[in-house]
Amino acid sequence: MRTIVILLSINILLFSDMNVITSQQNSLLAVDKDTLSAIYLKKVTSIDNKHITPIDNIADYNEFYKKVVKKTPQQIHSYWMKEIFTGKKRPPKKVLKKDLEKHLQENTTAITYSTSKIKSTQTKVIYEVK
Amino acid sequence: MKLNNIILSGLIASTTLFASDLETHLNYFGDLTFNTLDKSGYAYRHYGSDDIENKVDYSSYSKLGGQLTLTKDDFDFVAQATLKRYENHFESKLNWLNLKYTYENFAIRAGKMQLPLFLNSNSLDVSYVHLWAKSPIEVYGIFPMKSYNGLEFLYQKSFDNEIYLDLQVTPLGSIKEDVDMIDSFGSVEGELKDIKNIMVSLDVNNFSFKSTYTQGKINISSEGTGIDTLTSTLRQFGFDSLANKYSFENTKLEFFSFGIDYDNNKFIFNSEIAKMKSESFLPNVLSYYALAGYRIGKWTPFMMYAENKNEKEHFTEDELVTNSTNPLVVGTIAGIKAGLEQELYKMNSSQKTTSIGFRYDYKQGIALKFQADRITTTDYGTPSIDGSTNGFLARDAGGEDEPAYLYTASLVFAF
Repeated sequence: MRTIVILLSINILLFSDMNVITSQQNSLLAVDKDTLSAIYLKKVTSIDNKHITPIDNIADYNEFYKKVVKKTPQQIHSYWMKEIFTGKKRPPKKVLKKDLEKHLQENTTAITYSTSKIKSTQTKVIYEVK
Repeated sequence: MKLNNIILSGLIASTTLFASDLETHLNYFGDLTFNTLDKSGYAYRHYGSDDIENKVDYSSYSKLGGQLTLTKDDFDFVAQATLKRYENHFESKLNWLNLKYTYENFAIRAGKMQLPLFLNSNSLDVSYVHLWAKSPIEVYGIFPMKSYNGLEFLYQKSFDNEIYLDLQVTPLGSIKEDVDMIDSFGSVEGELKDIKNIMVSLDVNNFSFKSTYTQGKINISSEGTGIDTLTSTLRQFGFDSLANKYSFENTKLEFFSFGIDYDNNKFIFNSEIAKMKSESFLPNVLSYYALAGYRIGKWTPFMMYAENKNEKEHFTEDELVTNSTNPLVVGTIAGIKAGLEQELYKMNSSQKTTSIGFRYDYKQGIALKFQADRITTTDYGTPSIDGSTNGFLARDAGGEDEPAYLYTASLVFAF
């Protein structure tokens, strides 16, 4: 019984999907992977003239960047260091998983990602990361 | 320097006072770099850095940098300074001090900024973001001035989320600072004014294409230098047009650069070709480099080739002739010609460097790098009588014209 529970837990960890979410009040309905990558590198700051504010979830940071932006944490860090030290852009705000919902409620232009479901009727899924 | 410190202190004080209203970010970077040349009788020189000689030294390229960013709504205030050891003392320098306002895809920035003469000019101090351990001096050593005061317009746009455009335009700017020239000038007061620049960057898939063009007018005080003596002598003998040709008064300078970056997460390729056009004592320069690297886990070995070609014709002056048959006049003119050509020769920085090296990403924000350079210089024009040269790789009198090897090892970080 204990073995089954451990195997199930490993299965959930390995195959847990990640959702990209935003506030229900955001008019954005869906987003594709390339656009998402561009949003998180701040090459795109708006869609259909609506401002987008990407927020990083500290817990799922490495997995998101590996799957969506296709960069390692070191590569992403190097990218942002160049942008910061040339005074051009700043990286998305990094937030603890427990605070994600609060940020989405406070800022309806915000989008974020999470492997765990956020139990709220105030948010919607705009992309499923496989 | 004192003014810089006052501004920085003011910024830190204002951060404390308005901390509740401002988003404050403090970032820092630096590197502890050791260099050595393999043989004595040579010196590797760079503007504003101690010479690298035949002994292991940390002072030439090591530095510590800090940046304070204050953000409120659409405004960003950036102050960045670096500290490095130079000529037996620690020297701080303010690189960035500007205010930026962003409106949708547009931004306007005013204040002190890094001059984007070449594709990586504005991030050259942050060694962590580059694969090389030592930037190719053949391109990045062409011109000594770095930070200017002025205005920049920035614009970014995506086309179908496939092509990303970044446009940067500088309609006005100027620099006035003491410049420690690498040739026989020594430290001189320099000014680059009426700076105009345009920089375009296009990102497509794994490729990034960049191009930049800059023009400005340079004034360098040559009072008391060999060039001052020569231009005075030229005027004295009626060669006014030649004296004007070699003066540094309101002389036009142009810079052009085009480059490609490619990174598919495994294979890395960076290349840039740059040109400096000058109507002065400075020669026209064509330079380029190509760097290829391959990521294997935390290791990224690389190799690089860089070349700097000064326009050969610049180092001989065929207009300096006389119709006189008087042996005294003929001899004097021949003497002035030899003196002029030897002064010109000192400006020659033509050289080739072949490099191999690696980067090891120890952990996020910290990397170790190593680079070995094989440098050969190209002699042009009228060599000095004693056999010495004055380029990036300077050779002492009596030295042999043979390749020199420069080794660089560094610990770099950025947070």
